[in-house]
Amino acid sequence: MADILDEIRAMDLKASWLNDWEFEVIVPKERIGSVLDYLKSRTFKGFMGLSCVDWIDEGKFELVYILQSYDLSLEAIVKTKIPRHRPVIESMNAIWKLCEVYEREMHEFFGIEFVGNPNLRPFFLENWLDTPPLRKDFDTLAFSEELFEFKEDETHGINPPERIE
Amino acid sequence: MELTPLNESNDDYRYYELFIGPNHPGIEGNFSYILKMKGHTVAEATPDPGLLHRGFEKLMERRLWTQNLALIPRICVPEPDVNEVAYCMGIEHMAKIEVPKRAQYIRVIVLELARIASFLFGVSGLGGTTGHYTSAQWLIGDRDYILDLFEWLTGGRVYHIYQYPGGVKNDLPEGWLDKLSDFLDYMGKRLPEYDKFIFKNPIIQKRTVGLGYISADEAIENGLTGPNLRASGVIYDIRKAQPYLVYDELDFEIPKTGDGDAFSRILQRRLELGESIKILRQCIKQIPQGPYRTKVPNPFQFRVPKGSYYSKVESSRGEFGYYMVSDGDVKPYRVYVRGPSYSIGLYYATKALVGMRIEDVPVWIHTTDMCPPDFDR
Repeated sequence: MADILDEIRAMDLKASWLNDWEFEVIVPKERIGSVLDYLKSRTFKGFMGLSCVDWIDEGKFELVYILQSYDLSLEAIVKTKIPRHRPVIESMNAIWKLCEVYEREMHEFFGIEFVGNPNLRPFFLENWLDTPPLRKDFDTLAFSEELFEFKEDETHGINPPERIE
Repeated sequence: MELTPLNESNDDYRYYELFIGPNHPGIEGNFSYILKMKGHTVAEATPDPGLLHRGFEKLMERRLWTQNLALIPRICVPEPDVNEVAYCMGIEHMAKIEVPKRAQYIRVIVLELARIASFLFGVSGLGGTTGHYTSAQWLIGDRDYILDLFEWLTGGRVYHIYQYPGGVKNDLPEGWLDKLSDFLDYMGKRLPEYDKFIFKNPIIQKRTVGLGYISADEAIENGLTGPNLRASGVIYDIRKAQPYLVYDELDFEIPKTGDGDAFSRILQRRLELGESIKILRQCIKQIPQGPYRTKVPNPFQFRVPKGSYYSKVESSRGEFGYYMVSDGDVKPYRVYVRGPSYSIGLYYATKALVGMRIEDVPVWIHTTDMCPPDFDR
């Protein structure tokens, strides 16, 4: 079990155990495709999910690929960072076809461009023209105040005793 | 004058669009597939999520770590407890909180009861789609006994909000385990009836045997987990492979069906139900005395140390995961929810439904036990 981590470290990548079953690998953006391809060839065949973290102070998006090996009973968390002002990364749908839908979701909620993904049409949202909603600079309160009408006495909270009278 | 020919060469004539959902007895949740049909056969299936999207991941970033516990059970309606346990396990790992043995046993009891309730709910839906309504009534009726137990334990029937970082909110009430034992005896008597009534029933067999075959490689490649994966012959269960809580102290088997069709998927769930009853009986015997919760700081001051963790639980549908990031604040920085129905509902269905007849579509959906709220979260 430990040798898989040594192999990854030999590829000049940072890797560490999170617990007995899970390890994380930190990969530069340019090598993400080759690392995921390598892990797939090393029995990490299950693609469990793709997440994104918006590190707004750092000016980066962190993409998190979650992979599963059924033979080794291990979970690999592969992380890579891309610049926030120009979020472009290659699509992984050549390795896992299934990636297509996960990338489509991240494209919609974070505005990340996946080069090579043929299907980045709107998914969950309809007619969305605002900032991608899961970004940290999207203000949910301002959005709902603009979208929904509030009566003047309701904007700063309802006073229950007055209402009961 | 040239008129548009109304024959086979005109695609507009050959194909028509059919919405299955969002308000349809054959689909679960407020979710829909837009089917392109040719006669009775599906030519193309497009999932149309978003009607149920409540933006939980964003809402969680605006609430305290413990406040979110009231929010997340809503992510999966038929089996809400997996959310609470996975979320609490993530916090406990990052904040290095030890959970007492008794609390871990209580969590296993709650999870397994929820698994049984989820099975009863799922198969009753199958009864609805196959016209076998009596099974729907029976199973929903039996599920009510579990809801009664949950109501006594937690105060809530569907959403329990019972887990808390460090353990559970209350100890088991006096006499609760005896009632649970009575319920297990009752389920033990009911199982042969279910088998005769549902699984050996020619109507159910005719509708499900051979439908929607998934091979082992296909299942892995398409990211299926849980009973859907195991029914295709890949025997992988997180409870065995990467034991969490006290599953390594309990003796249970992973049943094998392995035919990969719709019938083996419901059969797999039925056999796992037997194992759940076995687990619960052991828990009743083995549960130790002691504290049920480790004290955690005041929720307004409760800061989870910097870091990230992917915590996961084997739900009745497969791997339910929470990827959580903390920046050391009183609120989570980011929470990502991996629902087990995501890959099958949004990706694999677009392939599997093609070529299927319209009456088989709801049966296929119910035998995969899809739960749209967990991807439309």
